[in-house]
Amino acid sequence: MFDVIVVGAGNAGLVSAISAKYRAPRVLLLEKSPEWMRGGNSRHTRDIRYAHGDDDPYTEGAYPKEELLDDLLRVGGEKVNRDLASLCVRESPAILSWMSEQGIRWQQPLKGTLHLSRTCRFFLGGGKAAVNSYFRKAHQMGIEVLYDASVEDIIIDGNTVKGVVVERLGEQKTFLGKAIILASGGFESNIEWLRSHWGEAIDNFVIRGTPYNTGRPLAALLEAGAMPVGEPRAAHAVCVDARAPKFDGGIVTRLDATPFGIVLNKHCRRFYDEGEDIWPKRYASWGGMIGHQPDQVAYAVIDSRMLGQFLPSLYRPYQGQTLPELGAEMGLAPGMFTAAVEEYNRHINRDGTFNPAILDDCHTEGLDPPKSHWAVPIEAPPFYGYVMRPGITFTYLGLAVDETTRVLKQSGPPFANLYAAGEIMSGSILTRGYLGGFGLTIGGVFGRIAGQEAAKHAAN
Amino acid sequence: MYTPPHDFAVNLPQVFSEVRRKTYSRYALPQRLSGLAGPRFGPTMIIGAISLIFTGALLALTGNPARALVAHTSPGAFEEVLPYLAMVVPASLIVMFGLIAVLFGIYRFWRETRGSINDLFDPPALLGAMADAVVVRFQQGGEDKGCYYPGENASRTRWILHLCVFWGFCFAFAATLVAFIYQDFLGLLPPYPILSAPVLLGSIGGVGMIIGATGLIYLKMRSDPAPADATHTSSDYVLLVVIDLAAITGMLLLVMRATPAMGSLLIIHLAVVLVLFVTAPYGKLVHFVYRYLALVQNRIESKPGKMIPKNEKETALW
Repeated sequence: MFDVIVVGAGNAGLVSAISAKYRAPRVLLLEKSPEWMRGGNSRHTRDIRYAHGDDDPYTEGAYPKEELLDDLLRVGGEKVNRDLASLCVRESPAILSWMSEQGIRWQQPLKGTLHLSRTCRFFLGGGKAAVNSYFRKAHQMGIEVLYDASVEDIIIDGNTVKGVVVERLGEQKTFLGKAIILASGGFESNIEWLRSHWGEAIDNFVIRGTPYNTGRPLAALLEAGAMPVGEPRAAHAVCVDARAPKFDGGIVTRLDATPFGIVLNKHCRRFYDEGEDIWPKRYASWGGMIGHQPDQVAYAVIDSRMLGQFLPSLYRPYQGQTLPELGAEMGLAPGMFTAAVEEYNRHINRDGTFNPAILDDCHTEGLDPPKSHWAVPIEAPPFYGYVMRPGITFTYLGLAVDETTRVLKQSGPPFANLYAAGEIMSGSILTRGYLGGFGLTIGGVFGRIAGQEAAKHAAN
Repeated sequence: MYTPPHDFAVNLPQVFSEVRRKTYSRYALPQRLSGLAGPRFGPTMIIGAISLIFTGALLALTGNPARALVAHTSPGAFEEVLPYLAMVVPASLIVMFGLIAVLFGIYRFWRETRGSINDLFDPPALLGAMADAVVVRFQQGGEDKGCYYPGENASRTRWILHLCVFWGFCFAFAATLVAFIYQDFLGLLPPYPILSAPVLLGSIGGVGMIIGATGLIYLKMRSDPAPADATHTSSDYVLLVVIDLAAITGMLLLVMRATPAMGSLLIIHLAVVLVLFVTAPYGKLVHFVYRYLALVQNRIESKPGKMIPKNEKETALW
């Protein structure tokens, strides 16, 4: 019998387990992935957002709690659970110091090459290094860690949970615990679940993170009457290179060429205003839009003048000295492709001054859909193109929790000894869109609370 | 997160290690010898055998083979086995050639990596880099006070052992220098008393190198080979073993110099040292030259006023 069982060993799960271990003698951490892939999507992270003053050595300038809360509410809108959001913002400075005490190290400003951010603090060595630091701490503390351990079911008896059923290397085993913390993420890697929303289109999607976030614990709890939170069909999705691996390509496969050229579907038609707003405000809507195009594919086209304007791509762009050549390279009908680009070129008001830093005055006239900013003719060879697919970052559906992270039920009091932390409960706070670096904050703050509460419950 | 067995199989430490190995061989003169001897025990042993035959032949031709197998302790005892010039001239020629080869390498390396050779005459950067080098600053690890080597926990063992080898080498070098002064300027012939400067310096150096090199070999055998370039690792082993042997035979020579084994030990020790000199420009030993130049580059690049404009919007996207 364990005091606390934690399901999932990403940032939230690791924080939960370490936090619990300070008060509870026997803590079990179950990770579905093999050891080399441990850490969930936290492996792909770089920085964590938190409120701080201007005396913080790892950021550039102050970021008051009020401003962080404002940013959060602006991204999430009215559906944000304000109590949980405020709690998370309030506790964010403390979780950063707590993480440092557990061995997490931070990137200091380097002379010459690297700038820090104002709002977020960077892990020294990135998310993988942070995950490794947590695991080192977990081993030092004597937390029992099991890899390749897939939680297939959760044993529920009325209002309490008794344990988990684990499948590991072909064997089924039951672990009993006095308290259980779910930190197993969303269901973005569960293709069958996604198929129930997206149909066959899902086969053309790319999953940007770990293939192990299949959402089994989430599904089990929803079935057992837990209260859902977050849009069940929605996912955060961006445009990624079509050559990206099906799973776990991470952050580097994202393509940011869209505002600097045009985007066509497989019939060589434009389908949305590429220059509607600045890219950070629009990048997350393009994944879904490509998902609604035939065959879930789109083609970004730029000319040689725009190649250095955005983050360099992981894969080389397709290239052509002429437009028909580029079209053929990307597998499009060269004639239709050329006609589409030339039509766009003809409708550009050439009086504007291109400026990628602002909403400039380069726009199209009489074109449907229009391109409102950064509309510059595609005419300087060589021409470059990318084939893009929707890449899912995470799903929004999760479990509703109270301020002690206890999992709420659709009716009656919450589960007595079941807690949730991280992406599995972030739907209360990140209801749509995404605020960079805040997923880690949620995992940290609520993981720490979950660990304390679960250990407290186990002791009684 | 992209380390093997991930699809992308990005292994940065291995790439860096490969780049270092290729740097050392690219600027070697002649280049071909670098890949041949540096990472391989076979050719190194052949060079060792040739050195042994060579010193043996020197003994036979110029020295006094009959004296090689009996004990002698008076001043000039070493020379009674092998004449001074026979010991010094071949070694000096090899060292001179090595120095010229390395200087040529420095020139080409700097031209290709930084452009102007004038940039190298930057006293603050040269001195700063020297300060970094003498404490091997960047092996101390970051805020965790150590490197994750050989295991997953932060440890300073590698740094300490490397310091032992480095300073051991310096002490042994100083001992040679002092002995040279004693002999050629003061007219004092070796072997020197235990409490003389050359013997003390040499003993400290020898013990330092034995502890350091043996320790580093042990750590390397226990470490995960995946983050390193296999050929480079093999060069590490070759250099560590040769240094270890040179130090061990040197210390044995000191301890047993009053016995009949002295003559044979002197020959063996000289042969091992000869191997170190011959292979120096083609093996891992040149790393101290290129690592030092890299530290100079780092010092130049770390000067204020060279910030690259930031791109704040990039941090906001996932």
